[in-house]
Amino acid sequence: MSAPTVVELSDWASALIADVEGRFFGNRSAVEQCVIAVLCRGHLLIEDLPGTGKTLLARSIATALGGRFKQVQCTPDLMPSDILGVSVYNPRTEGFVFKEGPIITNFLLVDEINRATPRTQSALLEAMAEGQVSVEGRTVRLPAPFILVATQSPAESEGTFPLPEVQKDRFFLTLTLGYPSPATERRILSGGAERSDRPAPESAGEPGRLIAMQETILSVHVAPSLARYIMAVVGRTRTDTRLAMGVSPRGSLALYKGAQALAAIRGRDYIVPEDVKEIAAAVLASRILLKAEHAGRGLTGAGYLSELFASVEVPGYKS
Amino acid sequence: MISAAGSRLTRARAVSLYLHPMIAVVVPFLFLSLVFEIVVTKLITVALLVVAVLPLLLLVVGAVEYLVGWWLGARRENGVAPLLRELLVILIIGALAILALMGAILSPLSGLTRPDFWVATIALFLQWLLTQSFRRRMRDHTLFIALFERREKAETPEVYREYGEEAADTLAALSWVRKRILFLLVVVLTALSVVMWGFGFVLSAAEVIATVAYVVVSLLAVRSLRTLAFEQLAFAEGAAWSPRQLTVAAAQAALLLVVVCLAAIPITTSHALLSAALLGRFLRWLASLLASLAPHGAPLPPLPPFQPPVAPTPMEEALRSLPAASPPAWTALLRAILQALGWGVLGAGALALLAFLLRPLLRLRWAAGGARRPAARAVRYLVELAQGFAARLRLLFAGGALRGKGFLHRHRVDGRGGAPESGARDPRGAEGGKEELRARLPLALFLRAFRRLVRWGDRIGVRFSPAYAPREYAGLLGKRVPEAEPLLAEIAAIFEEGLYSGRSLSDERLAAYFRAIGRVARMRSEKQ
Repeated sequence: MSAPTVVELSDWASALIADVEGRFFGNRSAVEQCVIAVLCRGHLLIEDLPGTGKTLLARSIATALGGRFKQVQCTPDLMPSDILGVSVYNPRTEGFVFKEGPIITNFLLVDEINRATPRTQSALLEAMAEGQVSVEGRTVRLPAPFILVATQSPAESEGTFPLPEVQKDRFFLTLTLGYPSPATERRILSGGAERSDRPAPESAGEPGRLIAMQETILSVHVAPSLARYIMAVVGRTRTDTRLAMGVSPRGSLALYKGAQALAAIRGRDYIVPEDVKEIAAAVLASRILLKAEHAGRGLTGAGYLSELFASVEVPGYKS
Repeated sequence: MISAAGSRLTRARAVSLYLHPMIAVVVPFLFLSLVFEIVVTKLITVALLVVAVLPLLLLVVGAVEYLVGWWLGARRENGVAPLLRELLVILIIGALAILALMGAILSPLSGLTRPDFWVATIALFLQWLLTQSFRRRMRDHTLFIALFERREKAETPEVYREYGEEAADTLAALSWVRKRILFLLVVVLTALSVVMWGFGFVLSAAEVIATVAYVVVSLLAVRSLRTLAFEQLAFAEGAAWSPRQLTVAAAQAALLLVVVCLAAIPITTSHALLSAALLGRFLRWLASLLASLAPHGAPLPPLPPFQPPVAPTPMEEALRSLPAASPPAWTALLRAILQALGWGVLGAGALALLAFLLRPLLRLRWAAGGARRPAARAVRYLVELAQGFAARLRLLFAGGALRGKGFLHRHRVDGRGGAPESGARDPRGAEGGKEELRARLPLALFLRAFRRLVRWGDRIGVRFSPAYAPREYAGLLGKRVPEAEPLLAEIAAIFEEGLYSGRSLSDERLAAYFRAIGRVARMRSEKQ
């Protein structure tokens, strides 16, 4: 079967976004960014205040995409084996049998990830980076696609364990939802109760289709000048004295792929500078670390990136 | 009846006539045949009589220059490397052709020491430079005229005023080319006059005919260039609303030029071959060489071993009795290593040069699915090359220039599908045609038009920053002038497609781009 075209991908993504918006409405850009992460085989961290719809969004995306979906609610006493799996003794066979953990799935929702201990958080690293887990000396491949969606609330600090930078870098993009607009909230109030009681609709997709779409992303053309533009942006973060840590090569790759995915969703088979700018905040903001004195003055990652993009020349205006 | 596509094609071909077949090959051929025949063969020693065939050599290498330049040039993108590649290919093939006609292909070192070889090679290089400068300038004119496609008659003066800067540039380019041709004409006539009367020579009838032919060809070229300049004036005055109206006249002038040039070829060829005996001698030498390479008789008996005619002297005896001095083993090893290194460097250099020269072949994409398959691409490229060349020859010799449907038309029908205006995605096929179109992307004009928008933005108070993405900038402008928003979005989309999509824009998209910028500029006048 031939890979889908960009136009087909765009149609597919529009249907998917519409499907998710049927359950999580009022924030199309957040839904679009979730789809971008999924298309780039990336993992997603949704970070916001409690009750803003983080879990609903993650569930809606997973439901719309089809495939196996599992959820883990993190608590401080959650052990790695609770996620990865454990060998249990079977008295009938007088041997140990490996019992898979919830991580053996297509979509894993890790709710309140910062409530888990660093030990448990680290257990996810291999799965996120390699698509496999090592348990009791054996390596288990995770099914394709494997997408991990984690949520965390930055407001509550008691009893939480902040994610280490290395793990944040593993997330393709970090999403902030914010409070809904008054119109959206009115809509939630009028139809929210019914919606929560409604059973999950039929899934709009299937994992095989998603994998084919992920292949299509790779065919999106990136002009050499735009690749240099991405490198220039990322390079600035590495030399800026206001930052304690710049963007890693993984971050620049994520920006490149994210722009490809965004272009494809918009029906283009080439990226434009606008794609890079649009996706940059979600991809890069969590990958930079502001020095304390600048963070203390109110500078945020998104604000810094906004300043950065205002100072880097877009290629192409000069022949 | 000429179709619109055919009309555009005819225009492109009419313009290209100044650039290659006739101006670049026949005119230097006519000129050099006379100069070499009169100056070189009569003033230099008889030993260099072979230079009488140099005009023929130049015709051969000029044809090579035409073919290589056309095909590589048509696929050329901006940059020094493609130009250098074209020059290298032309010089290599041209030098080989010259050496072959000199009979020195198998012993090139003897050919390289001859002054006539270098004269011909330098002439080839200068001819290429001249062609490049003509081609570059004429291209601006072609692109400028494309602005008038699908315009209403009443619109053309306004469009012409809007693009006054570009119009001035293209007129200057036409004038530049015309002046160069006139300059060459004066130089040639002066040189011939000096040679003829200063040294007391009298021209033969053939030489007079060739001179007259050269003058006629040059004047016709100048006349055709003037026709192109008048074309612009017709648009400026609103006397025409489509290039189609004027293309026929330009094409007829060009056709006349072709006919005269073709008629001049046999005259000058026979003139240049006055010393045809030399060519015959070369052919005989070639035949004997081939015969010696493939002997068909019985093998000769081996020669008896060499016997010294006299007995060795005591000194020779003493020398022979000495042990043979053998160099130490490490020197042999060192020599082998150095030789290997030398061959390695040479091989790597040769491979790099080959890769550089063959890059256009390797970069083509196979039409199906955009998959890259080098062997298939190369085959396809060669097939396209052969087909294109055959079609071009057929059109040229059948006088089909006025009816032809070349790559522009073919591409529009096959590659563009049905909705170029809607911005529908092109299929990944017809990559070769896109390469050709990409070579025609008027980048300078394209960017200049965008700068016009930037100037307009400045006037309405939206300052441009190079850090803005095109769409972002269009959005800012659209907020200031909401009625221009759809046009600005269209401009930004086409601008981005032209710059970042890695393929050329269709002429419909280009026309839409220029049209949209023109409309936005008119909104300015309503605002102010």
